[in-house]
Amino acid sequence: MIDNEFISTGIEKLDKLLEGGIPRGFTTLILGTPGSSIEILSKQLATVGDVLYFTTEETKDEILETMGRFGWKPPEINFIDIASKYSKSVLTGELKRVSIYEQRSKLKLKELIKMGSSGMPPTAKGGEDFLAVLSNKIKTAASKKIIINSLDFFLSQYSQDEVIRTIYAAKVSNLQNRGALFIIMTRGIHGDVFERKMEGIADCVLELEVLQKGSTFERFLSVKKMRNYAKKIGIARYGIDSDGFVLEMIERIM
Amino acid sequence: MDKQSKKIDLRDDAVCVMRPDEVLLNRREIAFNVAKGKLIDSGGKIETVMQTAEAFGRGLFEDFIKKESEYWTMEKWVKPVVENIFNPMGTAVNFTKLTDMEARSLVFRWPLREESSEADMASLFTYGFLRGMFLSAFPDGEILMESAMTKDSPMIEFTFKIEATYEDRLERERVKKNLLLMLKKSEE
Repeated sequence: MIDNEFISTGIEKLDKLLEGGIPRGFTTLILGTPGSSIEILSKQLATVGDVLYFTTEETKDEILETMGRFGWKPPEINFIDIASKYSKSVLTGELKRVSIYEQRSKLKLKELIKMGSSGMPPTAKGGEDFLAVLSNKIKTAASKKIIINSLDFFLSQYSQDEVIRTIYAAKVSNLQNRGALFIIMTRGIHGDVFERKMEGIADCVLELEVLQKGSTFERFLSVKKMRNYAKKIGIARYGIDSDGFVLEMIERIM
Repeated sequence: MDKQSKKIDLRDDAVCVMRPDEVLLNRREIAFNVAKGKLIDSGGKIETVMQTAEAFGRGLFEDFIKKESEYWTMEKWVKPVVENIFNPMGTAVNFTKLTDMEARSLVFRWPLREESSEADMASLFTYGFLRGMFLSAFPDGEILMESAMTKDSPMIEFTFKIEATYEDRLERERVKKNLLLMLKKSEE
């Protein structure tokens, strides 16, 4: 931690670019394209602080192996390994897919009467609802840093409306918890409208870009939005070395 | 008919007119490239391609189909998908069966697969995005890919089921496994 107002990202120069780190209570959206090493950034964010890490593409073991390769020794990470749970559920044929917002209207009359007489709220039976897992874990989390890697998974399983509602609830929980919520999302899949909605919800938007210049590739990290901190808008060229993200040539835009 | 329009003769009595939409084609192209990039980033996990395609399909549903109805039936789903997605993407599809619970379609022109150098990947991506669009309306459903488009078989048949059986739910994994086999064969 740099001081009480900010939460460190775990990357010294990124903290410098952000003039101290991420303000407490902020929701940060990190957008990237394949080849930008966004998956490395998401792991490096977890190297500092008390972290709750939702992983949807890699298993916990795969993440720890990569962290070990970079020589990162994170203090304590509470993993929610959705990748493993999901792979098990699809291999066994998903008993029944359930939605967090499944309504009584979808139930048969007999089922409604049965539930009505018991006085119990309706609960859908079936396979695990990963969006509900995300929502509940964030609501009760004591961790000050929460990383969702990545939102792409939830957007492949649930409607955009359901995901937006859950993220909005997570944002409110994070605000009350005065923590830092990081959401990783790939650019170019979900449509411009959804991307703009997410950028609107987020307090801070970071974008990783890869540009081809001749026969080489240059990577840039830009701070596209920082609510109430206009001075922090900036861009930096970056590379990846054996220690992870290396930011160079920081340039302020405002 | 504008310059971009293509007239394709299906049979003597049926004509399908497709108007390629640059915005939609560009969006598909970007998503397909992202899926291929994510495959490399993930160290070759086919699941990543499938999830990217499904998310792309859900996004298409949200932007181009969702507004058409509040309550979905097979017929209500098929119409906007053909008009707002298949035709602008230049995909030629003929529905051979359309009931409340099940639909069957024959795809006989599939530009993404024809234009792409990674034809097998394009097949998986198309299955994935169709699945994303279909499950957005029918969460308990499934799409079965009856045959793959190859040199010997110029058509592909999909079966759309509103209520999937246990066996149907294994289809997604089967499609992934088939693609893996095809990729291995092409590498040999």
